[in-house]
Amino acid sequence: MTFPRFRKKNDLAFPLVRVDDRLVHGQVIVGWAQGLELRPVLLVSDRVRADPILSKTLLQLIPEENDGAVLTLAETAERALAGAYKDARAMMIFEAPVDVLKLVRLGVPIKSVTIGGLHFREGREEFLPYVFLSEWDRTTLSELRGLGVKVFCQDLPTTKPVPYEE
Amino acid sequence: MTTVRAVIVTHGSLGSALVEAVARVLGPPRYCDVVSNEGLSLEQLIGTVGIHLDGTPTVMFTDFCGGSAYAACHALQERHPETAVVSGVNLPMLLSFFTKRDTLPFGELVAAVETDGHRGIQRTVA
Repeated sequence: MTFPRFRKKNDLAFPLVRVDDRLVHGQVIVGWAQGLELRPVLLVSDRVRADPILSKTLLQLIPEENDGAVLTLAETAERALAGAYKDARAMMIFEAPVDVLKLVRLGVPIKSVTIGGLHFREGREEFLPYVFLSEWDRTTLSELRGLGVKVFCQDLPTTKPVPYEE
Repeated sequence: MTTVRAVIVTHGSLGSALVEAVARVLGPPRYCDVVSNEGLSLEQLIGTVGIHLDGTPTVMFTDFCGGSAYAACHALQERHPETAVVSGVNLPMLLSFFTKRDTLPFGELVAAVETDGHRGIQRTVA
């Protein structure tokens, strides 16, 4: 098994939480989900869950062995709090930092978050070549850090993680 | 018969390099657009590729089945029945497309392009 260099195996905290506005793509599946034998791989997004075409498309990209699902924030919280992912090597993929904060506020314990990719759009400024943040994103990440959640940036499994600090 | 359009959606500059290679063999292709996923979120990529769909028959070629380019094209295809998605784009596939698009019905063209793409992969071993 190829292991991403960023953390030692015993440092991994599950669920593995990734923020990536491309959601499911090559880096996520080949680098992370398959490399680390993660399951289930949960795409947590109210927007995607409400779009049956996009849900179907993205689910197709997750290999069967990684047990993909598209869930709303509320569904994810309900399942997580019921212990569904307690002993699982689960991965949760979010489109924006604010969704992670919402899940934490719903009571789901999250130890760390990896920002895998937030691309440029109006109002976002470059933090790293693959991470562009708005004021709102920064406030959200600060709040997450204040709640004890570690925040890293890392696009590829083979690149070095960069801790996020204000 | 309407000329079938091509939209080539890839990582980095692969798409434009492929079109450049096509141009060396057949001359610069018409009705052919290239989109790179560079710097775009999935939502932005869907929007960018969508601009190139004008309601006429179009084949969206993508490089990697499982990547964001494929996801964007697949989601668009579900909304645009006049289109098709073919992944694993290579030079033989594109040469096939550009030489056959004015002679075959859409469904047959897509099938032929896929077959020719596969045919372009040969191995020689000792």
